Amino acid sequence: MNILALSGFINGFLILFFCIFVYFKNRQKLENKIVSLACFGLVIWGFFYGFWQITKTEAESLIFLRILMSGPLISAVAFCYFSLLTLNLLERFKIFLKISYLISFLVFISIFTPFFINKETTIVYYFSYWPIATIGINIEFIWCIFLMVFSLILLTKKSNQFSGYKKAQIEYWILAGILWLVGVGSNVPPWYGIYFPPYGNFLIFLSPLVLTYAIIRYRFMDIRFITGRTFVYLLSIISVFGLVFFLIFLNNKLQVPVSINIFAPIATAIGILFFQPVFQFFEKLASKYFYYTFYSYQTVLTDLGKKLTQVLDLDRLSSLIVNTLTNTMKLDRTVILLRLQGNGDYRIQKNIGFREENGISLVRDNFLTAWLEKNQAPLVYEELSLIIKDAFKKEEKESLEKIRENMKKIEAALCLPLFIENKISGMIVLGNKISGDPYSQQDISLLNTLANQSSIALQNAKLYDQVHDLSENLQEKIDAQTKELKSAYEELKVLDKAKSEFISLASHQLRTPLTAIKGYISMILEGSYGKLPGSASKPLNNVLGSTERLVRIVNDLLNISKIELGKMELNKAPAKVEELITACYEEMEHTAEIKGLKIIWNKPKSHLPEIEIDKLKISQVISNLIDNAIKYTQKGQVEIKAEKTDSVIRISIKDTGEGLTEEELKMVFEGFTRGAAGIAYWIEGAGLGLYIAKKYIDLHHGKIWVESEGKGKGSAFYTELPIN
Amino acid sequence: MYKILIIEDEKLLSDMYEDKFSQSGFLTVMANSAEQGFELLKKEKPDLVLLDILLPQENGIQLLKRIKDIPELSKVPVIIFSNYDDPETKKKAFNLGAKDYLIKTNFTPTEIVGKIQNFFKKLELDKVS
Repeated sequence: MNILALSGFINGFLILFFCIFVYFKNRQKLENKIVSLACFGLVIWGFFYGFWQITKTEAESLIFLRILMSGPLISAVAFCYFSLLTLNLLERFKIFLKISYLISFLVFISIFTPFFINKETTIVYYFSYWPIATIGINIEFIWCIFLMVFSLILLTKKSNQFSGYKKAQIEYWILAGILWLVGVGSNVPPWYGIYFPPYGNFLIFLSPLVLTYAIIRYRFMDIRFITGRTFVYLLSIISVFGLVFFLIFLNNKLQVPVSINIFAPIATAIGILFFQPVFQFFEKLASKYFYYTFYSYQTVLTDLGKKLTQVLDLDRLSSLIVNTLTNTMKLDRTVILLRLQGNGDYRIQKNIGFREENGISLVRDNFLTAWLEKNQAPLVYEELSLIIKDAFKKEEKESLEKIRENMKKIEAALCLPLFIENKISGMIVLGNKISGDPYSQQDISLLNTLANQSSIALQNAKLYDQVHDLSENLQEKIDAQTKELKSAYEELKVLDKAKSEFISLASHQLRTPLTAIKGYISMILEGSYGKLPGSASKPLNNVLGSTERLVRIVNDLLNISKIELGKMELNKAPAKVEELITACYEEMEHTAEIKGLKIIWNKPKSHLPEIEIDKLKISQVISNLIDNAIKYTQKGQVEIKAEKTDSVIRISIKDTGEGLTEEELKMVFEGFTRGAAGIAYWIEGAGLGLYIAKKYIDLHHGKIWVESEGKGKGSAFYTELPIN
Repeated sequence: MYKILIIEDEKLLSDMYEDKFSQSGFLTVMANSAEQGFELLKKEKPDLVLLDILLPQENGIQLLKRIKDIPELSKVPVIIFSNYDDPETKKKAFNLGAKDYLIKTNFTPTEIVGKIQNFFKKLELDKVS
């Protein structure tokens, strides 16, 4: 085997390895599919390049040659597609791509036609069978070179639009493309009589090496996980095979009388049974000694996501997040910072591994918060140098530089902002993986998703906490107020008791002596104790009058306390208001006459309907109103009227007396509610009659009011009682 | 001649009413407590009882209750004659068979005597008819 055949096989094997890794890393992802397809083209090219040269017959050799020539075509188309994909230009180059597919397809068909190569082979350098180039192969060369050069120019031109990791990734992709072009291209000159050995072949396997570097350094396409898994699988398979062969070996050695035809399948079955435990054993071992976690992203994500919705307690929730992240990803430190409402400061919610002051030092100034809010993406320490390079403003550069230094000092590797409606509500700062591995692209996208879920869960927990606190506060307040109310109630109870005692006092203690005074004076006046001298009768009558007044005042006070205690009850019965007024009128007529006043009772023309009222109380009201009218009128008349409207009976008592001032109009029905300044003070002798009258009318759901044009202009009192 | 039992603890008032009722031609029996009133009610068999509410120890309402359970005694009409003016007490008194509830301070002794005379007149008329 010559060296060029070897180069083909090396390329084939190395690139196949890479191709499989990239493909199985993420079969769903278009990027992985395309890159593995580009590699697959090179795999075909590499292997058949080798076969082409080690075959002994010309026919075979030419078939291998045709097959190998399909490789660069597949690879170039995939390279071009990936370039457009990574530059986000697929939409713009839609038609171009369709035409390219068509041309590529035609070229591919042409490979297996007589137009492709001339069968007559010549010996070129090492090669035993090198055919002569014809139109088909010319077209393929031109087409492939065009696709590659076109892609590389596009990548170079557009790479400036990108920054950070993306830009670095594109640069490495360009480098891989150039290696491809030079490597494959070095095979072109011999076709056209330029005999220079195509050592460029050796450059080709550098192409996946460059990509591997990009993967590890710039998370181009994460294959570290799959590498680790493959290693574990490999060890497991070797162990199981070892076991099977050991069993067969033992079988032979011990001369067990079981034929190999029967024993071999048994041993294999045992081996298969052992595979799972052995695999788990190696996985654990690898996890333990190489700090390599084989966590399934989906499992961690769904598990934590589920748990996040189940926990409402802020402390438990933050512990759950921090512990899960630290344990699954094997991190040295993790901290959750939550932003306080109001001043926007942060506080450490949960911390593992960071020194207290270190954990929060990143957010001491507002720069990081503002920067993350602007970018809406996590900040990775490894990316910072590239970000700094791309930063335009000097201050931004400096601030970022400071953050990089700080992150290095406190050994933070990743800042995951927690967003609520694009505003930062907190952040999770992660340290390094204990394994020393950098964060992969998938790690970051997983963490980002987790951060999004966490921010919502944390927000909910925060709100829950607030509501909880609020309700606790409220409870305290309610308790305090209930206590106050209770003591107020107790005070009221005491007051109420005092009131009842007052009734008892007034009724018994005041009334008893009053009864005696009133009784004896009346009896003296009646002559029960001998004949009175004429001169004594007038003063004694005055004493009796005053005593009567005192009795009325006590009665009024008692009535008021009854009303205010809600003890006043109505004894309702159907009654004729006319009759009640007549009775009052007749009772008062004499008093008016003595005073020289005219008292007129204008009976309604038609009879008033009977209404349900407490006769005694309404009579008291009417009497009181007539009594007042007489009392405050010195000359003129008092006119009583009663009439029926649609729904009420209206009684009016008009006089030509003193009248009322505006002030008095306002207060005339007030009792104690206005304090001692009640009307009783203003209108001497009015007593509490009007106040009680109003209460009685209110109990009947009626109305009572007064009208007066002013002092000296008389007044008119009105009462309305509903017709039930 | 009607015999009236006046149950009144205030000496001042009982003297006054005793004077007035005697002058007006009634036989008066005076008691200064519910207990004494009860004994006298049994012993003297009056035609009418004037009963105060606020009395030492047992009050007027309690006495009414006791009387109510004894048919012989419950036949005697009772008029509450008190200065204690409370709607609930009033209701209770009427429920226990009181014929009237008079507030002492609202009437002069003459007026009271008038009311009692009217009461007996009405009673006579009821008997006749």
